[in-house]
This record gives sequence, C-alpha cells and structure tokens, in this order.
Amino acid sequence: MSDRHRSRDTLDAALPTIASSPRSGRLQAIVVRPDTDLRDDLTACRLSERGGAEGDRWSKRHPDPSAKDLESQLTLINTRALALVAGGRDRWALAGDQLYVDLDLSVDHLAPGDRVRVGGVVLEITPKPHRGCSKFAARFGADALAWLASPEGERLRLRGIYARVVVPGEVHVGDAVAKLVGA
Amino acid sequence: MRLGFVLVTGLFTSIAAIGACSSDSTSAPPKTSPEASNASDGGAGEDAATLTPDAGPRDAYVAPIDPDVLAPMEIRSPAFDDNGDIPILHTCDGGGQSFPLAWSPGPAGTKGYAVVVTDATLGGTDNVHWVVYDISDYYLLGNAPSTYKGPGTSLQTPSSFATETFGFSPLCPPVGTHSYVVTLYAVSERPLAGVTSASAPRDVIAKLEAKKLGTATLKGKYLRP
Repeated sequence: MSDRHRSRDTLDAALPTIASSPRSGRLQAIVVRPDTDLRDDLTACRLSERGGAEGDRWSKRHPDPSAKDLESQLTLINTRALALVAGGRDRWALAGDQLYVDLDLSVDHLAPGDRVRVGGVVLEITPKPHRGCSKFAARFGADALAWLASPEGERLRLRGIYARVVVPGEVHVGDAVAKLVGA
Repeated sequence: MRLGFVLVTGLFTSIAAIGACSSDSTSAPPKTSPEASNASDGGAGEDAATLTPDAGPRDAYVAPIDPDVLAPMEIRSPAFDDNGDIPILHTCDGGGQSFPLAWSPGPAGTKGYAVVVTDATLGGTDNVHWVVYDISDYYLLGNAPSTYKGPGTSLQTPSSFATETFGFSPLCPPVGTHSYVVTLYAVSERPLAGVTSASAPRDVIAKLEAKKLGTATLKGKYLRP
C-alpha cells in the first residue's frame, strides 16, 4: 500500500474524532479550480449567487446556471476527515472542494435547505449528494473512497456537502462558520 | 475438448441489426483457438455450457458465439450494447463488478488476448480501469478477482485509481456522463514478455501495443445518478 494512503483501520479509528467536530467552527482553507486538475489555494475569495466561488471553473461551466446547476455551485468538506485522508496540508487541495471547514457536516446537523454563515456570507445546503469518484481514489486510495461511502461515512458526510450562495460577499480563512438557527 | 468460441445471448437475434465494433485486424481470423496448448488452460467452457438464459441477470449468462455471424475481432458484452448505457452493477454505485465480455478470434498468429478499459472522458494516461492480459479464451465471465492472477490463465495490473490492488476498478465518475472504451488486443505473444506483477497499467499497455496483431473496441457510458 502507498505510504500516503491510509488503511481502512486507520480511517475507522478516527471516526470518533470526526464525529466530535464542532457545530460552530472555522473556515480553514479556500481552494478554487481555475480548470481541471488546477488549484489555487487562497486566503480570501468572493462568493456570488450566480458565479459561486470567484475563479472556480464552475462559473465557466455554468455561465447561466439553472436551479439544478446551482445545487452543485460549491462544496464544503470537513478538515478533520480530509487531514486524515490527505496526509498533509499540502495535499488538501487535491480533494477539489472550495471551502475547508472544521465543522460538523453530518446529516444530524445539516439538512438540505439549512443555511450556514461563513463570515459575512450565507450559504444554503443543497440536496445534491457529494460523493467520491475514481479521481478521489487515485489521489487518496481505494480504502479512503470506500470509507467515505460507508454508512457512517455517509452519515458524517465525509466527502463533503454541496451548497449555494444566498447572501454574497467575501470569505476569509479564519472566518467563523455556523448554522443559522431558525433559517 | 473445450469449446473454442463463446456466444453472447440476446445480442444476435438479427445479423442485420448488428453493427461491427471498430477493428483493424490484418487478416481473416482462424476458426480455431489461439494455441492447441491452450486447450488445457483454465477457462469456463464447461461453465458456459451449463448456463441457461434463465440462470439469472443478463450479466450472468454468456452463450457461445458463432464466428460466422461476427465480424473479425469483434467484442461484445451481454451487459451493455456498443455505445449503450453501462449497468450500475459495474460501478461504485452498485456492486462494482467487472464486465462480462466475449469476442471472436483474432488474426492468424494470435497467441493470446488482452482487455483494457479506459475512461475516455477523463482522458490523459491515468484513466485506466482494467488491464487483463495473457488471456487464452474468447471471453471473460463473472467478476474478476482483485488479484494478480485473473480469470483463467490471465494476469491483471492495478488500475489507475486503486494502485494497491489488482483487477477491475469500478466505474466511478464525478458528476455527469463519462464514456468508457473497452479495447480488445490480439497479440502475438503469450505470456507477454517484459512485464511483472509490479508493472504499471500503462507499461503493460505499451507492451500490448508493441505486440498487437489487431484490436477491437466496445464503448459504453455511465451517468452518475
């Protein structure tokens, strides 16, 4: 096994740590994808209702997004899970997500339609499931792909969650992240 | 003596309806197995003979191919039609099983066969889902094991997506529809020289390209639900 790829046993052992992710957390990284397999690691980024994360290829692919397109506007991923799978901060961006948060993303905490504040920006969780793919397996190992597709992995949303922008603005690494109660 | 050919049920009800897969074999195929010595190699000729159309899912049944109704070097799957939809069974959203495949003989001089499955939509060189080589039969049945030794006499490499394990890597595209290509190689050498269990998929493919006498393709697509 590649020494960069975690075994299933190692991944499973970390589930309690991930499950204890806070319900009010922090934005720890921002990454946009200018194009396929390209990554820009940012300290700040503008998010807009129609364009999503500025500089990310999503807006190029959806210049006039439909309601369905907006369901996949951007993603959040739990950094406790990603740090375990990626094996190093320099490899986080390989996941291809946009907002990297220390936040409980589980189904018990966030449901489609719930809103999350990231600094001054508000996102709405969409119903589109975020799942791993062959490229994820190639980067992080087949065990990691199977782990996040497991029942507990899906409950904790280890692969992350889709969201769309409902209140635009600029987000910064370090911003507080929390579910809007009553939203 | 083991049957030399394998049929694919339900796909040849009308010869006129069958479009040949692309192929570039250099001469008419012989109507005998690649090597007389192959007759004692593994293979599932007896298993194929005991299966019936009612045995179970479409994937489970592979009946003999009559070479007279196939183009030279034609490859088919009972699981999907050429350019058709690949069932969820062969993806990470289903059981993740390898495709059942069957083909007609290669050109004269063919010593063995290999099958390579790639994600054409992904492109590049790290898009290989399956490399199985040193095949002495005309079919691949059932679910390939996740080991160096594959079905029958065959050997396998890891895929581009699961480098720690051998065999078929289930189709698992990101959002949208991905197109996949199954390439059959008829090669002049078996066992394939210069490759080992440590060989990467692209290294084996390079060897196959160097030893090929003919190829054929089967295409399919999968839309992630």
